[in-house]
Amino acid sequence: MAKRHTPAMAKIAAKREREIARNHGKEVQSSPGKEAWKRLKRNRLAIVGLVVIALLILVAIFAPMLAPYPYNVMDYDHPFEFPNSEHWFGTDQFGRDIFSRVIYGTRISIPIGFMCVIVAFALGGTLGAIAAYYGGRVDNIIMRIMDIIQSIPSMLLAIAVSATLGGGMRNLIIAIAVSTMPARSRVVRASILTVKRNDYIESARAMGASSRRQLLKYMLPNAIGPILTAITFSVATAILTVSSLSYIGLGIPEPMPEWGALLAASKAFLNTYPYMLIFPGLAIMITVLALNLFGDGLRDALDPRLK
Amino acid sequence: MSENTNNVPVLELKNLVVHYETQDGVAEAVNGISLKVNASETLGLVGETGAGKTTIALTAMGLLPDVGHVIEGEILLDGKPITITSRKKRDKKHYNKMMRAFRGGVMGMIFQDPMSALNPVMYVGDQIAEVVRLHNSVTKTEAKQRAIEMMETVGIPGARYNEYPHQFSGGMKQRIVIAMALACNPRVLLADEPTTALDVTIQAQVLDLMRDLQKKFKTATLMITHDLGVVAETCDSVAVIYAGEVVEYGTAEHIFNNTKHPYTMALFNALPSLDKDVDRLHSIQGLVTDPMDLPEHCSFCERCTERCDACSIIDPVTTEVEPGHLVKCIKYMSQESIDAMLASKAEGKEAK
Repeated sequence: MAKRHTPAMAKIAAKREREIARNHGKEVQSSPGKEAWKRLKRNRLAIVGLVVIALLILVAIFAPMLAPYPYNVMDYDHPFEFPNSEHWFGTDQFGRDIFSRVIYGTRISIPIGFMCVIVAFALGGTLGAIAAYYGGRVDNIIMRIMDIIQSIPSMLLAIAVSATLGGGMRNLIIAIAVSTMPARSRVVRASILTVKRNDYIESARAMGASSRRQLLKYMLPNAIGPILTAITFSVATAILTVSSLSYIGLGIPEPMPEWGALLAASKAFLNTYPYMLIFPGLAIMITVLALNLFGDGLRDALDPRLK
Repeated sequence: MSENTNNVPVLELKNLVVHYETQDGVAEAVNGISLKVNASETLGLVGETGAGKTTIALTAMGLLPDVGHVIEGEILLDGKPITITSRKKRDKKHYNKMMRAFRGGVMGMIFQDPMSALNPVMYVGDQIAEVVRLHNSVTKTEAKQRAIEMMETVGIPGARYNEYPHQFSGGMKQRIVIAMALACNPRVLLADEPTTALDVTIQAQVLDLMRDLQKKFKTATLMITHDLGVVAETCDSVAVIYAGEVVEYGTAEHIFNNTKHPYTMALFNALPSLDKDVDRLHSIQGLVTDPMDLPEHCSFCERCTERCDACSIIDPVTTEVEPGHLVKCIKYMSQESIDAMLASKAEGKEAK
C-alpha cells in the first residue's frame, strides 16, 4: 500500500482505488479505440465529415419518406423547370423531380461504395495478410498475381466486367472490387509487415500461439489503424468509380437515378439548363468530401505520430 | 509436478552448435556448449553482446530465425530432445507443431523489453488467460481465475485485469510478462535479460520476485544476462560465454570468489567498485571476435592480458580446476597436454 503523505495524495490514491474497484470486470475508460475516438472528437472537420456521412446513410434509408415525388414518374406538363418551391432542384427533360432523384441516388451510391470496399478488403485484405505473415514464396506468388491484376487499367477492367457480365449493382460491385483488390491487399500487407516485427509477436510465438491466432489476435488488431483509414478513403474512390462507369453507360441502367448517370443525362442540356448537372454533381462532391475529411481525421486520430 | 528422482536435469544442452547462414557468410553463434539446469536451480549465462546467449534461449524455444540452424548436438528437456538438425520441410513442420505445445506450457520465456513484449490492444489479464487456455483445457472463467491469481502472485491487484499495457509502468509490465511465463507452471523458464530495460530499484524487485516464484514453482531457470550483479543475486551456477563457447563454468561461489579465466577476471575488473577510488573503469581491449571469422586458436587470445605464445596456436581444452569448476584456458592445462596439442598442430601444418 502506498504511503499517503498529504491529504491531496490520499485523495488521489482513494480516487484511483475507487476507479479500480469500479472497473473490476468491466471495460476500462482508456482502450486504444476510445483514445482514438477522443482524439477524433477534437477534430472538427472530421466530425463534420462523419455527420454528413451519417446523414447520407439516413437519407438512403428513408428516401421514400423524404423524396416529395417518385424518382421515375414522368410529368410531361413540367419538363425543364428551374428550381422552384415545387421542385427544389428543378425537373429534367421528362419532368422528373431532380431533388427526388438525387435523394434516391444515395440508395445506389452509398451501398455500392461500401459494398465494393468490403468485398475488395475481404478478398485483397485476406490475401495481403497471408502474404505478409508467411512471406517468402507465398508472399511472392500472391503479390505477383496482384501485380498482374493491377497492371490492367482499373477502369478498363471494370468496363470489361460490366460489358461481359452486364450492368447492374452486383456486377458493378464485382468489377470495382476486383480492380481495386491489389491496392487494398498492399495496404493490409504493409501494415501487417510493420506490426510483425514487434516483440509481442515473438512473445505470442513464445507462448505457443498458432499462426492463425498470431495473425488474427495479435497482428490484425494492431494493424487496423492504417487499414481503417484506407477503407474510408476507398469508399470515396469507389463512389467516384461507380459514377464514372454510370456516366459512360456501364453502371446502373436507367431509370435508376445513379448520380453519375444523372450527370450523363444532363450533359446535353448543360448550356441551357445547368441546374440539372449542378445538383447531382454537388451530391457526389459532398459525399466524397465528407468521406475524405473523415478519413483524414481518422488517420490522425489512429496514428497521432503522423501529425 | 514430477520430481527429479532419476537425476535427469530438466534442461540439458549437449555439445550444441548453432550457425546463422546469412547471405554474407556463416556466423558461428554457438560452438559446442554443454550445460545442465536442474529443477529449482538457476543457471546464469553471462557474456557480452553477441556472445550467443540469446541464440541459446531461442534454440531451446525452437524460435530461431529462418537462417539459424542447429548444426550439431541437442537440447534435452527432461531427457527428451527439443531441437532438430534436419532441414527437411516435413520434419520442420512436425517439429514446429511439437514445439508449439511446449512454448508457454512447459517452457516459459521472459523477454528483455517488457515495454514491447505485451500486445498493446489486449487487456493484460486476457493475455495471461490466453496462455492458460492455450495449454490447458479450461473454461474461460477458469482461465480468468488463474490469470487473476497469477497477477496477485506477482503483486498486481487482480482488479487491474481489464487494463491495457500502456496503463502500467515498466516494472509492472515485466511482472505481467513474468506472470505470463509462469502461468502454466513451466518446467523451464528462460529469462533473456529480464531486468536490462528496468531501472535499478525496479530491477531488485523483479529479481526478488523471480527468485521467490522460482522457489514456489520449482522451475529450472536459465538466466541470460550481462550483469554480474544480477548473477550474484540470483544464480546457483554460472556459465561465462565468450564467442559461443563456455570459457568458465562453476557455482556462483566458484566464479565470484575463485575466478580463474582471464575473461571472467576482465569482466569483474570492468565493474565499478565502491572501495576503490578510480577515475576510469577498466575496459576489455578490442572487440568481441567476429562470429563469421572465428580463429582456430583461443578466441579470446587477442584481447587477453595473460596470453602466451601457445595461445595463438592451439584452442585450449576445458579443464576442471576444482570439482565442478571448469575453465577453458591454457593457463590451467597441464604442460604435457599443451605440448601434445602443439605437436599435433605442427604435424597438421606440415602435412598441408
